[in-house]
Amino acid sequence: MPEAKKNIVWLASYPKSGNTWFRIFLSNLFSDSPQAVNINELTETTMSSNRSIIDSYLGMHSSELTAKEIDKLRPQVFKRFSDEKEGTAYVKTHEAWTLNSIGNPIFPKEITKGVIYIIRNPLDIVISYSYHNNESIDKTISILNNDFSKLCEKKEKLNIQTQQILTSWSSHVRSWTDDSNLPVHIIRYEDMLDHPLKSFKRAVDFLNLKYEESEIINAINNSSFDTLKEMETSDGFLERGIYSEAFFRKGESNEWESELLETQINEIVKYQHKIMKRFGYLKESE
Amino acid sequence: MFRHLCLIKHDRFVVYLCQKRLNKYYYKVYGLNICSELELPELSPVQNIKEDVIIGFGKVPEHLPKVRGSGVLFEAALNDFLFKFEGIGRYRVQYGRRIIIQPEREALPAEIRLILLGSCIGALLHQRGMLAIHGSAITDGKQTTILSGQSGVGKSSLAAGLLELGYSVIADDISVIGLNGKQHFIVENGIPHLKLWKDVLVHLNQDVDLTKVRPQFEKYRKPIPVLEDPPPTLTRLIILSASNSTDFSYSEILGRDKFHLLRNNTYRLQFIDKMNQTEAHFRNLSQLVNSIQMFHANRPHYPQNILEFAKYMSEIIFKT
Repeated sequence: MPEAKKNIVWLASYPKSGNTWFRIFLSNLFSDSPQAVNINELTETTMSSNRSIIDSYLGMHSSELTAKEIDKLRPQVFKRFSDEKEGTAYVKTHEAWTLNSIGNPIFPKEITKGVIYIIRNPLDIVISYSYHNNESIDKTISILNNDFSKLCEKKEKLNIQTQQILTSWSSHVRSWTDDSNLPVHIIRYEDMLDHPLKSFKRAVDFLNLKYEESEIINAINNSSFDTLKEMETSDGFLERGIYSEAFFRKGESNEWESELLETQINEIVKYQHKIMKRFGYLKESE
Repeated sequence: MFRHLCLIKHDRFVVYLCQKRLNKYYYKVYGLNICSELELPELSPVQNIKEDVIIGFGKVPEHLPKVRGSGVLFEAALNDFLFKFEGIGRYRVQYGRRIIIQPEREALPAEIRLILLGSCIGALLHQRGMLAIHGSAITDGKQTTILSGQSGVGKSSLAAGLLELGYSVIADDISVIGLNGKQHFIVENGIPHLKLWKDVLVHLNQDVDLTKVRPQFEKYRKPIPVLEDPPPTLTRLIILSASNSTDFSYSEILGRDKFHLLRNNTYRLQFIDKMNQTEAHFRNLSQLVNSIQMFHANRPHYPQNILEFAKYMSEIIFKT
């Protein structure tokens, strides 16, 4: 293998934290057209669990490999992907940053340009994620609070994506922001909503992308919640959860205040309070 | 004493070495006569053949001497291909004519065969300049259609559904293009099994008392009847997709997209340029693309309704 290129940007987040929104912003930023890009034609990014890409670099069907075998091989898949990629590749992931069974990081440092880590209040994630999966709030809380949570885990059926280690919300945040030893830029979903220009501009600066402020504003406007919601209503969205009615549902923060029961809030805070406090989702006194 | 017995029991390599001295097995698949030192229960046995391909055991190097290109698990050169999987073994495919296997001690026979009959056969077909499409082929006895598309999209599941409706399955996963006596394109008979996940078998109310593809997960080999008659002419290829739409849909693929999609759905496309087979592949695609109709067909991700989709597809494929 030739010398590694540091050309992969991991767009990492727990599910329903604004990752898709950020990807759509990037697609609009990179687009030559002043018009909003079609949300069903987001060609600028791929996913870390994309089975087709993994199969292509392996030379066999990953569907005939165990999750442990796939994770053992994925660092090499990503290295080859990086090697063949001209310029920077933006790879979305909902996985926690972890080591595989032979102690290698699944997301190799030597090919990583940087990480955009998008964080959202877990109290709001549970509501959004429960709609996405058509699961109860309580069941969704148990996923967020479980250090062994995985995505696409079922052994009796084939998923288009490979299995992904999710962990609990706090472990997920810590894995990327503390353990990965990668250059990480953290964006709060709530800041993307409240201070879009400041938030997106900082991310653009971190990625060392050269765009005028007017171009960033245009990309923000073209990826506004109302625009995305309108596009989904009119043409659908390929990434909508198979059990949910819409991907772009409300695009708000603090929905938990009216939607969650006291016991549900307590259940989340009990497990997640340390990280919640660290990222400003709990008052110092709480 | 017991420890010693256990070692022998689990040392599958010893079993293979014994087989090597004692047996040769003959099979026909993808239009090729195969003579194998390894028993391949997945294939249809034949007798008295002049072999096109030899499969045997032997030493396989760690690397090829001259590598043109590689992937995580393979190295490729002109007429030489190496596949290695830790815990299962190394395979060398040469001149489209022979496959040498060096299994690892702990390898399970089913796992050795899984790689042999997948990526290694794929490499061998490319070395022979044969066109192999990633997909399952079905027929009503008058015409043949290939169901292609990315892994996990439901090619084998749809083939299982069409089998339930009375159609025949010619090949699963790899559809190798051949010519019949009238110089019409056909799909050669493939491995007479459908590889199906448990959820599909349960959905179709079928028995799951079948051989697992690998012991670690719930994917099974369902035997299918071998087509006795010569395969009918290949007329259509359908690229399947699944989305969060609520309805089935299909549309014809026209113009340049046909070539592009046919190329992209070639089995183990990534081997071809690394093997220096790009020209032969291009020639094969160009000849086939104008002889068939191509369609996109989409089904909802959820709920899974294989038989309904099979009925819908049978109308498109065989009744229009």
